[in-house]
Amino acid sequence: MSRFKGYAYTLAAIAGVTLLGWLLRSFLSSINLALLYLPVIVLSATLWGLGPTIFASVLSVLILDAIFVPPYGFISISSPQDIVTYGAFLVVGIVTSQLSGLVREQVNLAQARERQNAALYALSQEIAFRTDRAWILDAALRIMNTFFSADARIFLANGDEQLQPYGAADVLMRERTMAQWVYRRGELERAPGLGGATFVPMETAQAKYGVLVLRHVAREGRDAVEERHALEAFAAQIALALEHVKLSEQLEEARLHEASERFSEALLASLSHDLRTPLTAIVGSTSTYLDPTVQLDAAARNELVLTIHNAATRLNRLVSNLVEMTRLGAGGLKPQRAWNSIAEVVEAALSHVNTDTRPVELAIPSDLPLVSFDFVLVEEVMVNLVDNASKFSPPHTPIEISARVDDECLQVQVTDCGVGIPSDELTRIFEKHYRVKGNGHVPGSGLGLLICKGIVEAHGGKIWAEGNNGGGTSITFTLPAAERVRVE
Amino acid sequence: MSAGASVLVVDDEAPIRRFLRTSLTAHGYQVIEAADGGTALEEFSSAKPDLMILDLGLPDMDGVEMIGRVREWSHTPILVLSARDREKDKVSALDAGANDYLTKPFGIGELLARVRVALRQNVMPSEEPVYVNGELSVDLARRIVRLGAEEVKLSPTEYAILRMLVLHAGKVVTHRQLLHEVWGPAYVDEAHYVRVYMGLLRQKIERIPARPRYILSEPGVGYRLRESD
Repeated sequence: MSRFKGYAYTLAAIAGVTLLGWLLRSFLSSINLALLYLPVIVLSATLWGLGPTIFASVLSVLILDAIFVPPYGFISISSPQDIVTYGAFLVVGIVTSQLSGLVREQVNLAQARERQNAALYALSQEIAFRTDRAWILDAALRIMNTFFSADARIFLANGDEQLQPYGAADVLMRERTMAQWVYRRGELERAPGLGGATFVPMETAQAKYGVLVLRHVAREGRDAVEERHALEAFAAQIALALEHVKLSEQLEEARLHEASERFSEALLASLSHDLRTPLTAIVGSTSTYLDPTVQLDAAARNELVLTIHNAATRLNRLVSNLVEMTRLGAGGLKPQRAWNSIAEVVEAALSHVNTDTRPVELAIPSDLPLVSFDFVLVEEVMVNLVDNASKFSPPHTPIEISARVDDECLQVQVTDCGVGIPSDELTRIFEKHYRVKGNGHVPGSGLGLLICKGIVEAHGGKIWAEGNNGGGTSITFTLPAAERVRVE
Repeated sequence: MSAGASVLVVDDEAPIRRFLRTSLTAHGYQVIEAADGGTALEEFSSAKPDLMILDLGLPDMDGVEMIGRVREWSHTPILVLSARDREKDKVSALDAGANDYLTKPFGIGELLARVRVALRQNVMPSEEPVYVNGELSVDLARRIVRLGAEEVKLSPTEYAILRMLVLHAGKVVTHRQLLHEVWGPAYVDEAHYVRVYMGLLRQKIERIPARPRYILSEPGVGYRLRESD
């Protein structure tokens, strides 16, 4: 369109100059008249390029010859004067148009490069060091669409080197086939058949990530080369960002794997210790009992049997914890919620823990509402908390259990008078396999609080530890209790 | 009176059978053993024991299915052995007709108490009109509940719950059984009704409701009124 516009403007300018020359023809010589046309030729060369310039030169010579040089009305380029004028017009026009065309191209190029650099910069600002794949791809699409005024699509390669369109983009079958081909070849391709789409592979030196597709009107000539560079730069940038994501994912995976292996090792070491301790007690006691050479009085026999009994109870506790741990680890811990009374949970928990040697002080109001939770799991929490409290505090000191319900949640607290936990370790005790330093002689797998945390969090609650002034520890957990059940 | 009664012990674990045989024999019971469901059914029909102790995890047969088959033709009490975290198994065993259960691991005191209650109920179903345990007394004939010398005022629902427990004293009563008997068949899934009224009942008859002396919670299953003195 703009090309025709150039011719039209040229034609209009020549018409104007011819009219002016006609009006002034009695005052001007034919050389002067010829000079009137020169600015038009220079103008058209500067503004509209080579075609309109040649058109302007030829037209000017013809009009000069026909209108201002006798014989009027006839085109007769015959005199040397005419040929000089004609030649001069053409030379001026062509040289000017070449020069200005060059300048114009340089300017366009510079502007295009600047825009491209700005867009690339914007892209790298948005996606560099991101570890969120979707964020990177969305930002890339947005910037591409703006920069190339195009409809950009991204195909990502899956594990089997098959391309999948990213997002809910509508994709033509042919487009996918073409993208797959470009992915394999690794070179930019244009597909005029597909509405002028351009396919750019996204790859780094290490790996291929997919193909960038631009549905747009492709440019031609030098612009096309520029555009090609721009597209390749974009694709490379996106590929680098995707590579960064992949590497950081691999790193994280490796880290997790290592952590889980370290955990398994620690667990195994601790478990074999925890299992062997009660087993040693049992084997030792029973062999003493069975030894015919050892004379035991009733009290000693009783002592041995009590040891066996306690060791077996400890083993049972450990097995329960391992079962819960496995469930937590398998991610299969789904609370079976029902309306339950926390008083009943405390009752059941206390029947499973040996607290005979110490007073258990209960501060549980009798009019607490029912709360929705998994009875067995929360009982597990209570058993672990009471068991811990009695393990880590001297015999005969009291354990206090309190419960209350407010608008938001049920809060249960178990407090002991034990040695307490250093304040910098209060949060760490809920970590995998953590044992407070200096408590090495106390039996237990260190799984109890971890399980409590898992169960409480599966219910949407919280658990934390607090030190008490004057020794002792409080462990508190909450369970959401905003809902209430009605009973007729 | 239960001394001399015969008990069929069904468990695939030899150490547990040995422990049960030793303990039960020492207390005057005759013990028959079976290591799998097939043998158990044969022994059950030929030896006609007074009680069966059945482990739910048998190698050849589903324990609950076995209870159903026995219950088609026999009312002999069945005591089920089950792991602690298998509440659903316990409940379905009780629904299938088992009389009571024991959670592994268990002590001899618990075992003997369950055996005694199961055998007693088989001989004299609900013939004791007065339940007395510590301070608590319940006179079913006169509908009077006392804690020490004081009479306890119970609402009709609370009394109905207590009556049901007294009739099955020493034995577990499931949430469903309570709901069915006290509220009616339409309410068997509304376990929270029982919990709320149990809370109210315990406030009236227990000194410390969270450490009950009389009505014990059986987590996930139901309640058990401690055996009469």
